[in-house]
Amino acid sequence: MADEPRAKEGGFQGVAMAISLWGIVLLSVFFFLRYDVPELASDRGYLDTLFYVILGITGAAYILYQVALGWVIYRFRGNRAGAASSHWHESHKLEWTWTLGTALILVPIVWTGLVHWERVKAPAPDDAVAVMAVGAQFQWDFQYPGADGEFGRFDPQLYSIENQIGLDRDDPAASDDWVLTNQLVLPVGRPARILLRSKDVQHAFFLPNFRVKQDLVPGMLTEVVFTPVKTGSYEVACAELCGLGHYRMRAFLEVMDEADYQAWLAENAPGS
Amino acid sequence: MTAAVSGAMADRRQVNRLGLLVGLGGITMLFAAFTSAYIVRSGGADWVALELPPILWLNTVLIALSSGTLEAARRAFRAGRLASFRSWSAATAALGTGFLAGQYAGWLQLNEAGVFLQSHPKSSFFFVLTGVHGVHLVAGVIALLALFGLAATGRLVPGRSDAPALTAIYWHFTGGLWLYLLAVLSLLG
Amino acid sequence: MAHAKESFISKYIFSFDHKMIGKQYFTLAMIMGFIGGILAVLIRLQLGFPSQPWPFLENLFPVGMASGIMTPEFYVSLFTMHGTIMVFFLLSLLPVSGFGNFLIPLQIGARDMAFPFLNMLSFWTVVPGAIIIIISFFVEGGAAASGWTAYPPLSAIRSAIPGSGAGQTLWLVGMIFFVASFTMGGLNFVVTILNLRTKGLRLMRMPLTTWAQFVVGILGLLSFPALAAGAILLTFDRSLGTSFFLPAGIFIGDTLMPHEGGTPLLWQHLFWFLGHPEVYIIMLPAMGFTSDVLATFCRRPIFGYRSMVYAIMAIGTLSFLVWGHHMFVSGMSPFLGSLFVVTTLAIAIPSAVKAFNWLFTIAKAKIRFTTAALFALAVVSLFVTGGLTGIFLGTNATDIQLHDTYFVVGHFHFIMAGAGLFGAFAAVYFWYPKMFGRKLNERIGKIHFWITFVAYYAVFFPMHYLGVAGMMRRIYDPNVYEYLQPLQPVNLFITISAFVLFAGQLLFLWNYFVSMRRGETATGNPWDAAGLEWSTPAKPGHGNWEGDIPEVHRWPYDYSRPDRKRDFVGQWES
Repeated sequence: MADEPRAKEGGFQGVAMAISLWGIVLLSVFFFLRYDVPELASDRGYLDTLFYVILGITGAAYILYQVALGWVIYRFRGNRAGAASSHWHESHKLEWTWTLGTALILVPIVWTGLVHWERVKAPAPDDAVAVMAVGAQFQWDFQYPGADGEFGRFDPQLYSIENQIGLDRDDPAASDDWVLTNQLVLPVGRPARILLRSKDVQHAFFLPNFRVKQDLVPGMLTEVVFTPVKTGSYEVACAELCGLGHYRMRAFLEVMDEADYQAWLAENAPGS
Repeated sequence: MTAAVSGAMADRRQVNRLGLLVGLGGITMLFAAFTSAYIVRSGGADWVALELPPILWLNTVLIALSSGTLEAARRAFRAGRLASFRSWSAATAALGTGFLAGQYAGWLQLNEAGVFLQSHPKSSFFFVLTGVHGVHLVAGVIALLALFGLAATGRLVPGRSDAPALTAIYWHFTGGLWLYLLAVLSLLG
Repeated sequence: MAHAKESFISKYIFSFDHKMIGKQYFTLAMIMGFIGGILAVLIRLQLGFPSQPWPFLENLFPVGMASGIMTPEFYVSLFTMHGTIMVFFLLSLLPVSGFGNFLIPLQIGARDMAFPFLNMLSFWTVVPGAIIIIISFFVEGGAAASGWTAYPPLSAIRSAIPGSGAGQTLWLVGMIFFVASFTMGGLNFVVTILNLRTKGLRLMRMPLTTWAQFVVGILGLLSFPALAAGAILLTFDRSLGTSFFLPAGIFIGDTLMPHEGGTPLLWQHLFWFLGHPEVYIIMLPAMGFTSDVLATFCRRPIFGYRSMVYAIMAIGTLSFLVWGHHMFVSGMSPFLGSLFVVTTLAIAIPSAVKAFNWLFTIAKAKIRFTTAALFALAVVSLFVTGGLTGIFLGTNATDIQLHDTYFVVGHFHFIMAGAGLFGAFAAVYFWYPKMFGRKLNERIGKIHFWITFVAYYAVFFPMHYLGVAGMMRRIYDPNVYEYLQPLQPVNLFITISAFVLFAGQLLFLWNYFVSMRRGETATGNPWDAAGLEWSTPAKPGHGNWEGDIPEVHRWPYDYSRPDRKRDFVGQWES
């Protein structure tokens, strides 16, 4: 109960705590400005916009709160002249303000998020370029449906070195199907519909530049729909732990303009 | 020793009962989790119906009877008729053991019909659910035997000991749980 | 309470005394936390210096680091076991099982927990679990390697990854032990708090720590059985050829698996039905400690006590309705995904209530900067930082890009691990005098605090940059990807900060064990605190109070009353 240790305890620590909180805010924001999402190459820029809006809101809340926390720690440190603590501990008005205030800020975020989600999950248009991505430990096989636009059926009994995706060649729809390993090519400006299935464990189809990520679940067929808007070569990653080689389950996505794409198809697709 | 360390407002009986009820809540959640897994899985394309072994109905009768005999035991205990309590609790334990033996016979009947644990999802669930339920019933039988032993050595005092009532709550719960599982297994999927 | 002759065994090993059991949990949790920390250091070693040889490490890990280079097998086991050990065996055991057992009877005025024998049993159930988890490193194939989330098929099929052999089996067995222990503990918490409160201690007069432990007890009882059910089904799939989680057509290592029709997502639902409440099982006690410590050292009543209690209840309830936010990109129905967004972001509301109440507790205070107070202040900072990043992940549209990246790793290391760990530190510095009758060394404590606080931000804040830039979690070598190569300096910085963070914890361990014998002796109420536990003697014996248990006359935050001369009034004072 002696006052002496209290004064000592209030000395340097409170100031240091305030300064370090402000310093952390400063440094974290400074460095945040140096890192950005990977260059955008799809039509999903609206997801980036939402990301930046949330970043603005939460960033402001982060800065304001931490600065305020530092300030009250500095201002109410025990050793300052005339320090006295107050018994005041309730204000329904204040408590309701921050309860409802938080809720109000969240409503537009939730709403926008849900609207964007609907857009991401919208079914593919009929003219979409469809490719089936087959994930396996540790490679990606991309099955193109060929001229008939239909994927031939597969049978797990047929998996082999030569037939990685177990394509059943007896199926008429399979006759013109062809497969690329670790290489996906898409035309720019046309919606792409990538169907996803796994041969073994779970994987995740992650296109960092396209804001696309979707798990591949054995026994399920999942899909993503997006439109590449920029030509170039991009990396495809696996984002779900799938085994020892998870870290090197990498493929490439080549986005070409329509003329190059048609030329490429003519050169590579069998029977054309 | 436990009596010495209980708090000022402690009423041992109330504490034990609440403890049991809370524990039953946990067991309920275990089976709720199994049930939701069952419902999800029953939507699968490979789900096939399972002809439940007929002996289950006999087992159900046994466990229903056992709840009755245990009630009789509890009444006898409350009335201070210890000899009668002993016989009724022994009868309950016997019926419970009979139920367990019947469940085992049910498993064998399935095996004879060519249905094994890994045959198809419903059979898997059947063995898991009856097995986990059986484990809980074994605990109940052990509790009953302990009661019988305590009563035989004069360590159960009517009006003071709450163990028979607690055991009865648990026993009725496992009985009810069986009816629930039977309903799930025969009505859902 | 004359407990004349207690043998060594009944006093220190198979003790029924809640305080001794609490301390046993502390010791176990600290050992496990130390091991978990070493695993973290090794993880960072690989990420900071990918595939660089460290010949001297070969002697320590002859298999995992043969010729001094870490193998991918070892790396995957490292982060799997780091997560498992830290989440369950440190951050659940220390604040919940350890402090729950130690504090609940002291704070509610009981001589012991409601079921002391069950309490002892619950500790001795988790010990074999911990041992099994540790020895799993030494079986063929190494420890479990499917992440702490153990998603099948990876965790279910032995040939999918070496760790899915014996290692995963031991992981499942260890978890079953943990679940059994933890549900016994939760049962004890709930019954003790409901039934054994001393005269005058109405529910709305309980300290927030006890409130948190009460809700945690309920969460544990209701959520852990789901993990038990999942673990049983997974064990059957692994060993007995059933197909609960495994679909037809799985092809691994040139072999077609015989399974039919199972669904891997079922495991995810069961796991996260436990997994998300588990996050709050870790966090709620930390929030309680923070409130109690802040009130004491701010010499102020906690602001908005009632709304704090309601916030704890709201968070506890909502925690059962949000598990799907871990599965936005899993292939779960998009409509369900949208529902989980709403429930998830709703948690931000009670969380904001807590953050603002803390801020207003500190405002108008007269802060005494003890080590405990510093850690509690840090919890507030970490909690807000981690909470805000949760909004990105709880919104399904923005989660698409950030899911399974380092943004997530940064997020949960702030909100769950960070707040949980700092809360536990605040609690240890605060209640240590009640545990051992001595104080921890404050000078070492402050050095420990500053290293921990600064290094913690230095380790985990930059992880958000990595995540935004697209770096995936759980990858052995990020440099495989061209777009991740420029991030190597950040990874190196994090690694060096992590080494500092780990080294700082050695100071704490030293302080903890040395102060038991050499620390400054403490009085029964060394901090002038108002909670009921401070009315016991400096080092309370079995039974806690020597005479009658005091009656409670007020709430535990009666500081700086204008009508009193002294700046606190104990709960036990009329």
